[in-house]
Amino acid sequence: MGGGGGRVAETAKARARRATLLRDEDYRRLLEQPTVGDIAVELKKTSYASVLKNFSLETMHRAELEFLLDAAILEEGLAFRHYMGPDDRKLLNLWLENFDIELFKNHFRLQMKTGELEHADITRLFDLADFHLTLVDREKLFAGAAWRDILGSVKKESLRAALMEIIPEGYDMSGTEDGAAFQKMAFAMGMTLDRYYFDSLSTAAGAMGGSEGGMMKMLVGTRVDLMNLYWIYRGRRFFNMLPEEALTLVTKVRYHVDFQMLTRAAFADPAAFSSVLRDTPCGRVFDVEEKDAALRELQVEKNIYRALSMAVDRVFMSGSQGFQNIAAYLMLKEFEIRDLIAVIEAVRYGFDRGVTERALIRRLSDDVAHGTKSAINTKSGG
Amino acid sequence: MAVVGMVGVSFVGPAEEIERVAFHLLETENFEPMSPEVMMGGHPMPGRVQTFRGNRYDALLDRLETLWIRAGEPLPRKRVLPQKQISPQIQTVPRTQPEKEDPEPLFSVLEAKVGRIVDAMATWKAELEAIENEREVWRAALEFGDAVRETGRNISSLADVPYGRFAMGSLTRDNWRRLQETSPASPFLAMPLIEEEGRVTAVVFYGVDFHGDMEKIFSSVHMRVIPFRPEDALQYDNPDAVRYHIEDLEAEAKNRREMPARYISENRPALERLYAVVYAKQRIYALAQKRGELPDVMVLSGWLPRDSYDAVLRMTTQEVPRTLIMAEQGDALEEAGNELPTLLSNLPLIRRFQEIVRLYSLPSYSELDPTFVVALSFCLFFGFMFGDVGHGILLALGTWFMEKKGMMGHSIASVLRLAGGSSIFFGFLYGSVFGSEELIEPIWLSPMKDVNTLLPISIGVGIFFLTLGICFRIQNAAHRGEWGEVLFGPEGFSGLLFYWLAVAWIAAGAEMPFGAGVFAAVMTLLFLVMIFGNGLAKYFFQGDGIDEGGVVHVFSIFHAMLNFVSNTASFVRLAAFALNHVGLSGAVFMLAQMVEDVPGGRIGHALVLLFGQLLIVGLEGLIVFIQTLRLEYYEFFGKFYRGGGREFLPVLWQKDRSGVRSEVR
Repeated sequence: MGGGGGRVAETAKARARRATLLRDEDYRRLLEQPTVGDIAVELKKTSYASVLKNFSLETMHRAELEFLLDAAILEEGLAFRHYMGPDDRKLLNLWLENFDIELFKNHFRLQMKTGELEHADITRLFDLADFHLTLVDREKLFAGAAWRDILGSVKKESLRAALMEIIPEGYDMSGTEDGAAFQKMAFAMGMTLDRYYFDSLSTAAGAMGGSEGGMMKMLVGTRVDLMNLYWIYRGRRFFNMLPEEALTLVTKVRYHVDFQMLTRAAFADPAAFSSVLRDTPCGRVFDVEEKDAALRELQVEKNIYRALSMAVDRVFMSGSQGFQNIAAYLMLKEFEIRDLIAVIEAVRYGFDRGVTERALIRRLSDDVAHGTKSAINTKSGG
Repeated sequence: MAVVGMVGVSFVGPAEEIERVAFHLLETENFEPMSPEVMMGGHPMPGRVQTFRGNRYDALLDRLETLWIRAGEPLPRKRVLPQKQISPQIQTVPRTQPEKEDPEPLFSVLEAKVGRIVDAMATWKAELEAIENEREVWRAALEFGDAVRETGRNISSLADVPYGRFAMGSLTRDNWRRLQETSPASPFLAMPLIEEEGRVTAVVFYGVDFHGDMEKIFSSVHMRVIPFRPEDALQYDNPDAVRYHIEDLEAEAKNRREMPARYISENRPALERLYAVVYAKQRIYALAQKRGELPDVMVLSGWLPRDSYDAVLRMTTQEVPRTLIMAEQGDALEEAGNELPTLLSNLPLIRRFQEIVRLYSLPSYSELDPTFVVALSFCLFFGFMFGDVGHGILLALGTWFMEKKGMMGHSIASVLRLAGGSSIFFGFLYGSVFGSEELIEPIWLSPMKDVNTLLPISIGVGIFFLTLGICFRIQNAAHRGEWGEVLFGPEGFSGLLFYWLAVAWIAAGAEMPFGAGVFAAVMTLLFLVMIFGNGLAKYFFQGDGIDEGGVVHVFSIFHAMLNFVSNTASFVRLAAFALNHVGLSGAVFMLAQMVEDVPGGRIGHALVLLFGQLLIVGLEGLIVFIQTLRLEYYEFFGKFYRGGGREFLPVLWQKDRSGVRSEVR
């Protein structure tokens, strides 16, 4: 379709889809389910029905369900294609490359035998859906056991070259999964892929004009700013990186948080990270009082997604028409799936349901946890 | 002219015999593998039987092909070797082979042979990398030395600076940007020496105390640090010697790069034979990829066209006596709930229209193949709407040219050429050449002058095709045993009779020979039969019919009745587009006439005529093509066609014929 008519259709569809997102009572009902299979059965009654059809839900494995939920974003995204002109399709493909990247990372981990899903399972799940990947050649990826073959599945030459810098083409992966050197390489590979994704998306959003471009820059830019800070935060706090090392993690394209601000954050004492950002809108995100390091990280992650939800709300409240509505909706869907995965894991591993409820990105109606001392906890009784 | 019947076949026998069967099936290119579990009624294979998904010859072939890729040569021709040459060891394996022995002894032999080549390639590559790394060091030293000499010093004088260090290294342009960006905030200074092919060779100066941190930073930007010992610094101070050394290294690198090509040329016959064997093995196990395996027995299952079955049976009886064949007819397997692949078989000329059917959806295994009717109707509809001798010739020539230039696929070009032929035929019937009705006499009628004849004929064509569509629907329903649908459905016998009576009533000018009362009574009866069709089906055929609720059913009847009207009226477009063609051609002639009086009018006249004719063929031709598809898909297919079939995908000898490196196409 494309053009003005296309924009109206895209906007209308995005807003209509937004109305199908899960409600508070849905999350509560899911949290009450005794097993992962029961959650799958409940989800089949919602907008996830299409990705769950043809599966035996009662006996569904946690990893299998999580994979299918992740695939739902791709399915949702592709459903918008009918309304789009070539430019928007290109942008949508770029947006959905995130899925390709996650699939690439997952397959890489699976080859290391650290994942719960077997290779055959993941292939079977994909057999059932005609998903079109743009960044990665699916056939080659699934056929690839050696790093050289996995690398060969990346269609973009520059990205392939960047990955080869980290892990040489002829690298033998067998028996390396536990080694610190391998973990370091896997981390660097993940960072390269993420940086590529956000840089490409920021560049594409930057080239857009009008209110559509403005909103896209705000959506992507906010995310890039928060991600850059988060990477520095994690690098400094959890991986004991030097400030200079942490600074090399950030993206090429930035929005409001420029390199000077990032440098200040990187050179700040990790314990005082949030104080450097106090005067910026990002300050609150990192201002967490939780003592436990792992829990603190979870809280920061939740704050980041909640901050991004606010950016999404701005798009919908603006009433503007265009691709930004699709982008905003897909972000909401992504957050919903993150929440669902938290719910699934809570049910699977018997975490405290009330605590899980407060740990969700979505603020359920009686959620009082945000901004206060975090109560995110792990296993019940733990 | 139908969907080809399939047989589900399982071969159970010793591995070497099954391999021979697979080779034979590969030669016929008529076998689509399936899991042996399908033949077992969906039950899982017994625990002792191992099932396979992978093909270990994939990696072997990939590694072998790398030799030709590295040499920059095309891959060898995919020769079909005699079975004896593909599995020589297998044929000599005694029958009482120990259980634990490798069922494919040849694999180990081939793996060893390919392994030797791979090792040689790895050695050449390692040597090349070492030479190139050394060259990089010397080139960097040359650049660095030149820069240092400009300041009146040399590299060796920098080697003993007490508080400072320097390091040289190579990194990608993007990583170089990251290093440079970090530099102002940190106690180091980075300078580029060589920038080429997306990489930067740089020198970095830093304080001695910062050495440990610097290593971490180099690692974070993936900088390949060039080993540069201070004691070697003296040798870099003579630029001419450095240049000569670089030239020597470049000659050595060239020599190493040519090693794969030299190796191939020295061992070509043996290498090509090895490639042919590995290739054949890869294809054999691509075909046998879903096999089940016991220590000495293999199970290979798949779909085979019914007419190929006898030949395969003969071959197995004669050549693999210890192999057991189990076969089951496709219909029985379909009844058991399996999805069978669809293979269409049509006459060569008709076959071209399979693409039109496929574009909508492939018929399912037990469904009627409409290709023959589509071929006839497509030509009829297209010619009817676009009947013109000249435009038909242009269309046929245009599609031939576009196919030749690779701008159009063979199948669609063939269909359009036949459509062009139909246009020429109807052009003679209409007496139309390039839109002019003056040049030849019409054999049949002129669309503009005989519009009152053309309109009823187009409606008549519509009635005929809708009737044919319903007949096909009835046949499909009868095949599925849905007798309620056949007799009482709105698109079964009752609906068809209702439609025909209504048509006859209109054709007779609202007067029927047997009186209006009888006519009304029959129509009412038929309508009631359709309304209570579900109940009647349940009564007569015990439970047949879909209980979709009374209101929905009544609405669906009304919808079907309205469809009869709209579908029939839709065929008026046949006449409308025939008129449109004459009108559009007339407009082109008028425009050409108008420009004749302006300066250069004759040229303008010719240009308008030329572009007008091309526009008619391009634009109107496209519109008529779309309208023809609409009549086929919506009016005709809508009456009976379900589609949703899965294409029969046999494993082929050429592994990349589908364009995808995949075991089962």
